[in-house]
Amino acid sequence: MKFLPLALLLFLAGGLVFAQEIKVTVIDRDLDIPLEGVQIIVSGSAAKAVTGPDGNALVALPAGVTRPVMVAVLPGYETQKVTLQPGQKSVTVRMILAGVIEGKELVVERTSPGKNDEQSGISVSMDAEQMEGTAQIGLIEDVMASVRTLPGVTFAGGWNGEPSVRGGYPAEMATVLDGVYILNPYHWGGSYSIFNPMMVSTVKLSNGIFSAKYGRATSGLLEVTTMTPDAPVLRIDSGISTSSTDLFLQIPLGSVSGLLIGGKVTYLEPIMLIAREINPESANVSVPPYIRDLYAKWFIRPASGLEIYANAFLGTDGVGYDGVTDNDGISTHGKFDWEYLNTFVAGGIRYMPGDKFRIHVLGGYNLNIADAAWFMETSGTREYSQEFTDLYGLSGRYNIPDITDEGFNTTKVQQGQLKVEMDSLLSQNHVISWGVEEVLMSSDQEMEYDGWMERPDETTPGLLVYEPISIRRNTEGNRIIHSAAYLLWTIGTDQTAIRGELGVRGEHFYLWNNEEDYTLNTLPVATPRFNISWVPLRDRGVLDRLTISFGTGLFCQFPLESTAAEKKYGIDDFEVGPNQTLFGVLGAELLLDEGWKFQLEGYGKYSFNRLYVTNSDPAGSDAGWVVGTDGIGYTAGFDLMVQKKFGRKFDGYLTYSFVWSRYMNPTAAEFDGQMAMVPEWSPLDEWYYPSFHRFHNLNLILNFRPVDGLTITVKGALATGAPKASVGEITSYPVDMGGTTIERYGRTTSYSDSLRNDISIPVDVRISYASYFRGTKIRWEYYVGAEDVFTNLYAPRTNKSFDPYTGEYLENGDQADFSIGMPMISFGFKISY
Amino acid sequence: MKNKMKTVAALLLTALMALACASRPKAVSQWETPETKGLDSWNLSLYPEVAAGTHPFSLTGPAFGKAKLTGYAESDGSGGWVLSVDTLKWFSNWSNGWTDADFLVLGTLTLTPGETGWKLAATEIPVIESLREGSIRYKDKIVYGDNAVKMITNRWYRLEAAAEYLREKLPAAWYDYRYRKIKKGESFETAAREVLFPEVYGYPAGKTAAPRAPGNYVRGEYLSWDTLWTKENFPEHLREVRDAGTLFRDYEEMSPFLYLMYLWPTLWKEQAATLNFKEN
Repeated sequence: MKFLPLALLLFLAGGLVFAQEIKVTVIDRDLDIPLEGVQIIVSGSAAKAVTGPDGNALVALPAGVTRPVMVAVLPGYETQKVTLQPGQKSVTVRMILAGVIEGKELVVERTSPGKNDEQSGISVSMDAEQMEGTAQIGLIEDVMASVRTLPGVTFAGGWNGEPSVRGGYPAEMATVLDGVYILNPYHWGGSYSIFNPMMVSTVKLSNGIFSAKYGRATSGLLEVTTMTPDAPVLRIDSGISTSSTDLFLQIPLGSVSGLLIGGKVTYLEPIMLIAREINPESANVSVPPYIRDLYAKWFIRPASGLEIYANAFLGTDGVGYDGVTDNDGISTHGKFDWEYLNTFVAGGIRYMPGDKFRIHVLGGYNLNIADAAWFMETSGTREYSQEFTDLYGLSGRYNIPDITDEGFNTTKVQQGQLKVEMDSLLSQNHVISWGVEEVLMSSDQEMEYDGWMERPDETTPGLLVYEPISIRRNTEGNRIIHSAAYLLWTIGTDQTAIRGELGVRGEHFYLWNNEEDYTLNTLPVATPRFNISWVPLRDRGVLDRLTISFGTGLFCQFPLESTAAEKKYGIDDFEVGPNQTLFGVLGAELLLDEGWKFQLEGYGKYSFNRLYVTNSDPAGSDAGWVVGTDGIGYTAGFDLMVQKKFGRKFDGYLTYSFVWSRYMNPTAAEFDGQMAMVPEWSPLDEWYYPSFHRFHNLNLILNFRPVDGLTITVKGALATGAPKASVGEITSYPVDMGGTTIERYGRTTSYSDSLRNDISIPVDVRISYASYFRGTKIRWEYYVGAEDVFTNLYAPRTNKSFDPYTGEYLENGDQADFSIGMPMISFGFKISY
Repeated sequence: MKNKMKTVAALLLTALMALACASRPKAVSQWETPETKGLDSWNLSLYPEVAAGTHPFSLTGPAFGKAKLTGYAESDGSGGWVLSVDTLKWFSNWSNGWTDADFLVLGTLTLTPGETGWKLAATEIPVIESLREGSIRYKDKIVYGDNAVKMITNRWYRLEAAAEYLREKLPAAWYDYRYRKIKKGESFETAAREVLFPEVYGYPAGKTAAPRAPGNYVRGEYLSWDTLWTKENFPEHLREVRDAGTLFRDYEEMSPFLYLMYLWPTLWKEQAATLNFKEN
């Protein structure tokens, strides 16, 4: 019963009433002078007082009245009434001379299209409302689904969340969350991002010349700003759908602090049950793909101009497979387990000691652990094919003994960062900013692999043998420290005719490995950037603003693959440096009444000092790795965006991007089929289109609102095909395995400059109905979504894949875009308060 | 450990109970008007006294929608009550948001026993003096604090002005609070919409839209407004807010408030006296 006194206190606190004195100050509203002799009366009580020469009076408030009304009376002035709040210690009453009629002015107020910091020639941005129809749909609701529709972003197909921005490789885009660089913000190996629409306030994609404040990217910067829980009351956003449940709470912690906390839990078991009916192999999914995310953000504003904040994210995902497939006498037992941990903590302090200077200190720590384990056992009895018999003279049946491939790979990547940013307002239109940042990254790997490998027989030319191989690796990987500093001069504002930014960023990368006693120093790189926008026309009839913009700049990034650099590759100090890109953009933007926007931007890029890695050993051992840093690339294109930002019955946007993007790894191939492993199996010594390249990318997003509360969103994309390899006929060939000749199938594969996959035309539809429960602040929404609604009528195709033991094509082995064979239907119910 | 958990659980429960009690105290006295078909009753509730002889009260009724009038009640010494009105607690929602507002209202009502029941009268007609605090939600955005007070105050002024204009156009007696919909197809909403926003809801019988010609229409809030209709029908001070679409936004977001403002004077001057309260 120890809690009884406390409980009693709680009860008493609930009924507390104030019996206290309150200081009243009365002034003339127009002359701003204290008024003497004002009679103060508290309505419903005997409390009275009169103000002194300083306009002040002390009034004893009656006990027991929770919200007394105080009346101030002075002859010649309008009597003023003020309701006092519990706990109020003082009140100022502004009196008006009698006869001065205070009119209730009728003010014209127009819906503001919402302020955002997107800038012509630099960035496009979306807020939570604009993302609703495109992000809140599908298996996993994902902000990146909206980002992929923005101008300059190449269509990536289903099950791929990583965007290519203006012809750059997806990994060349940096992502920052509330100012902090985030390492690999994806789930399921890049299928979906970690950015839940319920936690994101705005997302800004800088596809142009972004500020020198940010580095670590050569093709695009994605800035994600999460919700700030600054509402004075509890807010709840929740949703339950066929595949996941999301819940986010914004909890006020006093008047100057707040906490946002929430997360996501997926459950794909019901969908897997349905998928099993369509594709029986789905039954082999032993652990349905899952995501478990938890995010929290806290802030406090303890004094004017001071804010302290912190973010934390803990995300896991995984999937498991365990199944046996029989194909024409070959039995394959496959097992696969994938687990991924993605977590970060970050925080910062923003301080403005005056109105001309601001300092922002922020830091963060990011940890990613990817854990994959696999097992595959193939066995069976087969008969040599007639073609094989004719060619090699072998006939009859042969046994394939248990061929086992198994292993695991655990990769741990860590990143710590610290930034200091300062802004100084020189005059109304001139701001000087400078800052420094340090980012430390490490990568460790533990790997075991026991399997079989096909390689040329050393004694019999032309014969291939199947041999067991075993690889063990347990290494403390490389550490990279990236140091940077920047200086910026910002001119003008949103309201001035000329607005621009001139900046320079200095970057340096240093790599070391304690285990190998290896260090690699690089030359510092300076990346100057400049952009300017001019508004020749503003507020002319229906025209709100015409903006012409131009920008150019240098960007650099030390590619993630650099973490694989080792002493044995013989790379010396200053031999390699970061990948660099020289980028130029010219654009025009027209803003019209009613939220119409037309934007056209053309750009060109020259990429140089690009890292690539090839293997000079035809057998594929890592002893033959060769590193090149003279890779180059050219990209040119233009982006068009027509947008109706807001409308009563409809709004939406259309984006079209034309991209021409060619890269080259200048090292000559030493044998047939030699390619660069980095970047992603690209050819040597010839110009090539990267695997994600598509010439034409069109997105159309339309939101119809035929009646109040009902929204129909149609999201359509049209993209020409990505490059397709040139493949030869599937032919059989003998492989010796411990004295048994096995018939294997293969085909030649080479890069083609002209072949392309089919055109992709996915169309998604989302229908939602939303309103409020009667008389409450509780908003509800039902929605039904269908992704790729025409997939059963048309699905883009690529080269068919085949079974290497039977030579037969695999069912659905020619999908160019991921599809489950039917439209992905989702239902959801959302509640927000 | 178990005991500690029990203590924490009991404390939580107690705190929740205290919170619940604080937010919704039980009435000590209640009066209600008899139920009328299709209409909510009026309800006057007195809560436990907060000072000697002073009870908080709340008054709800069909004219108020989800809002209520609150204040403090004291005995009049002869079996009745003097009600000092203090606050109009406003809440209304629509498909895209809601408005929550606490208006300072000053006025005095009396509740006196009569032969047929208790009678409500306004000895000092309640006047909405100012807005104390409020918040507005529009789609995903919620506005609090000073910004919300400014927005709601501006909206209150505009809707009050529109209500004043409607009282001239639509006789108040016809749109009695008890008969929000006096006959099928005709209601305050229908009549008010036709007068205020015929471009959206249709023109009154016999009236037509202005011909499409330069200057006859202006755009505001993504709609076209008939400027000839505005000039012919609206007083000078309301024209700009109508043609800008601002008044339409006000109506969309707070239409029950327009109805309350429309009824407000007659509510206290005439209709309050017709109510017959029964003590529960």
